[in-house]
Amino acid sequence: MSTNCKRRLIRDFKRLSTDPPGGISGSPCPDNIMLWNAVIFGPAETPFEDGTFKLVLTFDESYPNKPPHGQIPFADVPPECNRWSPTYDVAAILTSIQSLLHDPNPNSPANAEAAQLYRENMKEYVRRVKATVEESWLDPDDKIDEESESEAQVSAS
Amino acid sequence: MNPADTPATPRLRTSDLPDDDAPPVAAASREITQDTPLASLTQAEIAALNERMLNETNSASRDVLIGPISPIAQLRHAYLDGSPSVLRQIDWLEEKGYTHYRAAARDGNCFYRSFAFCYLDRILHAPNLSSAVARFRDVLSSIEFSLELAFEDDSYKEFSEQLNDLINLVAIQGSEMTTEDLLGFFLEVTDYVSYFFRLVASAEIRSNTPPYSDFIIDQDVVSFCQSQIEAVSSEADHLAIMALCNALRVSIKLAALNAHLPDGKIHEAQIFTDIAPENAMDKDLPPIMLLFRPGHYDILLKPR
Repeated sequence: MSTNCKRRLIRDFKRLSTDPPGGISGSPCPDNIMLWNAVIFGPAETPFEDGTFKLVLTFDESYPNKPPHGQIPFADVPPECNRWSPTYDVAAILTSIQSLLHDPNPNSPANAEAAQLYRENMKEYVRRVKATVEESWLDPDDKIDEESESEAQVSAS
Repeated sequence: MNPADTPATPRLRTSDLPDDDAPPVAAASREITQDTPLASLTQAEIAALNERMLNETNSASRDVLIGPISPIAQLRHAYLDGSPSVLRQIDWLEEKGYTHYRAAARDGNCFYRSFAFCYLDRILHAPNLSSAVARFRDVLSSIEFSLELAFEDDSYKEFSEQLNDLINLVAIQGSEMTTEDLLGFFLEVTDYVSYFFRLVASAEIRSNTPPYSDFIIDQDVVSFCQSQIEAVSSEADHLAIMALCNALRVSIKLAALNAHLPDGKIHEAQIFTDIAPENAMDKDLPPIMLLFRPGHYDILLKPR
């Protein structure tokens, strides 16, 4: 069965390479097609503007029947938790994460802390997002501590 | 769009990818135990662990997606406390010869999965296999147009191919294949095939909207189809079931157990609903039989 999943990931990559939607990019690791690195640019006119968010997507044999897992720093973005549809491809996943940055859904939070701040303390929420944006400019090696603390679980199925 | 028509861009480097059937590259060369510090795990190692865990969970639950044939009386246990009306209906079904059932997993796909297996099983047991195969294939090719309109880039084909492969297997093996053999093949690709039937229902409603539009409230047709039919966790409602039967021109006999059935003699019409399109092409075959309890579908069986 593994071929179905891999064949699909190769097709997703071809599509993402030939017709990339704006502000996102992604590609599988050279030695493991089940592991993808992606970059999402923060949407304009949101606190995420100018941020470049690196994201690792982890696929297993159940893709595309189940969604992949991934993480993005301090953001409340559960991609299609309970609205997953196997016709979505990697381009659609990344696009939907990007649009959720614009329009988070604090009622079904992926990052409880981010959701609470979004509801209760917008000023602090924006400050934290901007700090995350600035951090996204640094090389991973220079990254300051406590990065893991602010990471959100992006996907749950 | 045919990939061959697409001009190559310098960014495309799919030749770097491993072959479709090449074994996955072992990501973790060291052994990871409970004592391995979590912070020392690389992303590749985490991915490998995740994948292994998910695959183990998937294969463990695979066999119960459609359960074995069981006596319907087993269902009584769930209703012994306080549902005498449901018990009477189960007994009534048993009396009328509906003595067995197959349980479907309660994962939001129970209707589509049960339907998909019955759909294939009745081709296998059709009195004239080759004519049944031809008829079912004809109808499937007649709906390709609406699928192409509804889903761009032929994205439905990944799912329809799996159904076509199973139908080809039934056509080739014919009487040498048992229902249990078929179940084994079906479970290998059940998520693909079950999902294809969601796409069929959705494409039918999108392309032949008028008979369905009165039942779609506060939503446009496309977003209804996306959220209520195509999303894998959404349960099938009557509208989706009607659309599926109309598109595929097949009939379903649905037995619904009702907790509030009034006392007295049970009439067939209180239990059974027939969903049979006028132009059904399967009138010579026993209908697909499903057992509905609120929120869940199983396969109902009436052994001859």
